[in-house]
Amino acid sequence: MKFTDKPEEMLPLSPAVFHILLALADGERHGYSIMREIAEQTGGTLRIGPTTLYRSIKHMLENNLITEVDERPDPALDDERRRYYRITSFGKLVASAEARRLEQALGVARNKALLNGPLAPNADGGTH
Amino acid sequence: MRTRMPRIIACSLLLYRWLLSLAPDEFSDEYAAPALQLFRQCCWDAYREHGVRGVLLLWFPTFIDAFHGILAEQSIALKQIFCPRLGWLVALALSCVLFPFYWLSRAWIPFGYLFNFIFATPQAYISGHIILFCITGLIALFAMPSLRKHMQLYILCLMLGAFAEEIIQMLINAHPGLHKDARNLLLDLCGIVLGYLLLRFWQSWHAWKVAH
Repeated sequence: MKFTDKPEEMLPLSPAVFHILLALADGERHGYSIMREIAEQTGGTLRIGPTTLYRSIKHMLENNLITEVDERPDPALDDERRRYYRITSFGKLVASAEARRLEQALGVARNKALLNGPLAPNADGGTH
Repeated sequence: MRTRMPRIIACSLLLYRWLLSLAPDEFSDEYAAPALQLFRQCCWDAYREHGVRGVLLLWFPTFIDAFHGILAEQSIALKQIFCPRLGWLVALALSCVLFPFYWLSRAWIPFGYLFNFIFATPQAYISGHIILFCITGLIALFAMPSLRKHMQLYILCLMLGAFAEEIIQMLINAHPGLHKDARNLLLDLCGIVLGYLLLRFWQSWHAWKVAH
């Protein structure tokens, strides 16, 4: 990814980057908390390992999507080695742009009856 | 009271730490510690839920993920190192190294006189090899500043060039002079190392000059 100030130029995001942005959308988190949040958001279908998580974080910091937070929520209760991250305003714009892009793709899938029609994977009542 | 770490977790961390040590310095200096801490936490969770089996089940996805990530980071780092600011100069130096001048000296008589005049003695031949690779090394270090921090990689790349040169010579001359090739490679290595030492000397001299 190259540094740019236009959110559209960052798209499409990788699933890991998009879900990290979603995890950080409602507040600061550390690596372990991001990992847990992603597993919860996706019902365990997307599991990212520590290496992918920190590779994504590295590239997101370089592209100003997130920033590292110096102050901690409660230093007394927390492990001081933990690093906290926060989404930037540019990161929010990029996440919104990606969500719109996915929404558009979802609309196309709906029109082509891929979600509710006979081609849908769970159309026969089965689960994913 | 602190809980004693189970052997399976200690072993997993040891393996993961070793894997992370294969990542480029830029990545491992900054992110190896938090990644290791995160993996430790995952191991403890898996151990509490499913015991040793749970930790073992973590190995495959985590190590595959680490291996893939490290390869990707290494490829980014290599791209940054081999992004020459003067690409044409590197290409010119490489073509000088690979070009079969000995063949040209036989095929083109005027050039042959000049070639045989310059390399008339064995000493001149030795100096020629060393100087050629010393200059090529200096050009590579000048055009790719990131390579200055990676001496082994610099030597490896230039020695690959020296090997390629010997193979081309062997194919054109159509006779394998293995003892000569080995001697030439040793001379090339001397030139490559000399180039690196000259750069280091220049850097130290420059630093000393700035300090005083």
